[in-house]
Amino acid sequence: MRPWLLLMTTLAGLVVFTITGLFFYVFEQRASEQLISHAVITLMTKGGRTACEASPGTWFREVFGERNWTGTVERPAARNDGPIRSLLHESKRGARLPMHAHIFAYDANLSPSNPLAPAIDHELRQGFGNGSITHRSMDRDSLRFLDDRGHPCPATAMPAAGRSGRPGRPDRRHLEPGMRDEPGMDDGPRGPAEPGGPGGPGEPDGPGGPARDVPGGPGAPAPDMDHGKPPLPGADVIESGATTVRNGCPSASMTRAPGEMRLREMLIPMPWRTGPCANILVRYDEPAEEVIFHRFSPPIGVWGLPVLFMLLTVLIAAGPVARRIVKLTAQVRRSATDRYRTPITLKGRDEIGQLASAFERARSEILDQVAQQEEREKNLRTFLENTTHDISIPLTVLQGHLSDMAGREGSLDAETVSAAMIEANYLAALIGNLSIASRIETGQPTMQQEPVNLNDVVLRCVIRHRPIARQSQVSLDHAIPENPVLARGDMTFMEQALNNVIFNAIRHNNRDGHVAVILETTADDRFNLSVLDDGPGIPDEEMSRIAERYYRCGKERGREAGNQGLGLNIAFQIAQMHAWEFSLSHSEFGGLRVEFKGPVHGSVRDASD
Amino acid sequence: MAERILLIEDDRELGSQIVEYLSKAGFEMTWRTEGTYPIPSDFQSVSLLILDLMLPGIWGLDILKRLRTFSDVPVLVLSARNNTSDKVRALKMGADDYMTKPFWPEELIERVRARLRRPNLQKGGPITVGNLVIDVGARSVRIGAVPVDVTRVEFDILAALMRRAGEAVTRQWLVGNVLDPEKEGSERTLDVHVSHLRKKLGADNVIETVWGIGYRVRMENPS
Repeated sequence: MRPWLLLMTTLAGLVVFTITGLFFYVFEQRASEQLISHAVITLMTKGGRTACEASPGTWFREVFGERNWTGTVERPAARNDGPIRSLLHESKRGARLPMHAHIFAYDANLSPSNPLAPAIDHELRQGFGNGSITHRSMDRDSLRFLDDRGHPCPATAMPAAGRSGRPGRPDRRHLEPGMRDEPGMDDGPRGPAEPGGPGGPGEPDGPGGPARDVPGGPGAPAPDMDHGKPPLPGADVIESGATTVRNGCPSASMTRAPGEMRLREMLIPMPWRTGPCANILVRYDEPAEEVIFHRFSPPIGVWGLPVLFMLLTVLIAAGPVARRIVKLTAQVRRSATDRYRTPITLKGRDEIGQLASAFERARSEILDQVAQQEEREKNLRTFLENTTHDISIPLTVLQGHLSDMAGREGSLDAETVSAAMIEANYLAALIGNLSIASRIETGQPTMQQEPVNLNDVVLRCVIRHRPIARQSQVSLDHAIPENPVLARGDMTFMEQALNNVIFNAIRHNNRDGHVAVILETTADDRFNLSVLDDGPGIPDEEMSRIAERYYRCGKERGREAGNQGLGLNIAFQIAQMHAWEFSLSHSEFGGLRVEFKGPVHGSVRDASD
Repeated sequence: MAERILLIEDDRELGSQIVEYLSKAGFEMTWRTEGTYPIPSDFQSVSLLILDLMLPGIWGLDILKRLRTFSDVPVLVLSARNNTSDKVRALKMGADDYMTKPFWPEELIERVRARLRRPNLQKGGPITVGNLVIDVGARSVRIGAVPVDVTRVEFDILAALMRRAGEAVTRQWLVGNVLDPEKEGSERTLDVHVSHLRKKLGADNVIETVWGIGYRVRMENPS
């Protein structure tokens, strides 16, 4: 199963649904019209003609009007409705047939002199169906004649009689917007492209048209009907409709404003062409929305099965695909958690297999990049170490020279030499911190875990800073226990931490200031290494910031403050690496007290014992 | 007699400097710039070896390793690489101390002295600082030949300081280890005792106050 099946089946489902929808849209209307036409012709053939011609005045009355063709008749059936009903009933498609229909019979020439005319007029005035449509809405201009293929019929033979009838036209005010009403309408027959566009109703001199079009028809309207009665609404419709029917258009439909009931009329010519029942007009209405809805939604029996089949296909297709995606996701996650060391092993020729191999390629690319980066970092560290090494030697020489100068009395400005010495010591501290900081960045692996003699650490750091303390005229003293105190960790880091704190205490002190380094042990086998001074100390807000991971003093600060921050920050980080407590506080002498506290790893007897 | 120090350092500038200030400090210097494997005859009268770890052609630790096969002369290792594994390896191979460059000349001198200092502590015997002599066994204090009458606590304080002459001892330690914690365990009490002691020692008082720490018996500067 391939993922594209998902897409294909979904598309196919849409296509099937649309095709069936279109099919129903196109054929439904035609089918229902044909059915009605067929039903009416059958009805008339099977005795309807006799009944109609025997009593044309009553026959046209509503023959049937059912909401549901399989249900009961809503109104008392006319005597001849049985055949129609049964005919319509036979077809399941009847569900889409008009709910209410009216049948009118017309004689062959469709003349208003037809004996049925008064009754028709009455019927129209009463309204029909459920009363939502009145005859006044019958606007012939909106009438559309359709041929078998649903195309508009050419209005080939519209009666010229329409001309003079315009002034008296009663329903002119109901012309819908956009209907043609220009003066030119009077000038003659419409062009072929204007279906159902006769200029006027066939009122007084209407006979001319029908007489010409309907073969064998009497054609002469009664004069009294022309003048003594109001014009018959709808007659013109019937007239033109009949004409159209003769020209091969079996039905005419009229649509009113969108969203309202859609009025449909069918004029069905009977096989016989004479007598009062030569043309039967079926008129019904249907809701426009319902029409659209029906036309676009084919019955579930038609589309349901294919769609169900396709859903199953999709499910069958999607199942394994989903499982593979879940598996791939798990593999990618696992690989991501162990720094992409776990390979992605999902195989396959499908798209998911390709995705997996793309992930795998990305993974190896990441590994390559990481390896390259680690290589670069290693090179950088090596470079840094070499540079530190290379700088350390000349700096030692420089310190030697400075020390020599400081020792010569009188020849040099002692202040200058002293300042130079402090700067040299500062350089040395920076180099130490640079090298330490690069190692701290790499984390624990480079940190040694050896027992370290803290007494020695204190001594080294104090001895290292004695020259600079002397130059700064700061007293530097220390106290250590008699027996060496051991702590576990990295001696270079420990020394650097203590060096930073001591140098900081000396640099940021006043002339004749004091610095004391004290190593003590407590009863619970912990050591306390503290450095205190009586310098100006550090403001509280800065104290809390020293412990920030990447704390560097702001750029606006000078070198002096910057070093204080960096040195103490590195001391803090080193304490963290050793899981020691590191605290800054105000000493009781006004300056800063820095404390390291941690577990004692052991104590050895003094080597001299 | 000046003690002889052998320096193996390849950097000429630094080497000559070290030679210069150690000579000034009273040591007899021998300097080699090339690393060669040590032979016993070179170390006949050498009191201390100052060994640079990075030498052309030979790794300083190899020299140390060879040296330790025939001599236990103290070795001070110099390293420009501030690298713990180097130091740990050097200490494990028998180096006595190490120094990381850059350093101050005074620093080196002090460390050399610390290495060469002979332990001179005799348990229970008399301890002498200047004119002051105390006998821990007999619990007696003398200035020259004149006995000084001190109380039991004063003696304990003085003995504790004298035992570690030259080193500062914290008040806390003295309070916790010398004073009777039941009766007089406070730093104020300690200060009172020390004050009495100083008066009794008079002109030969050797007890000095160390800022931030406590007290120390002053030793005459060895240099």
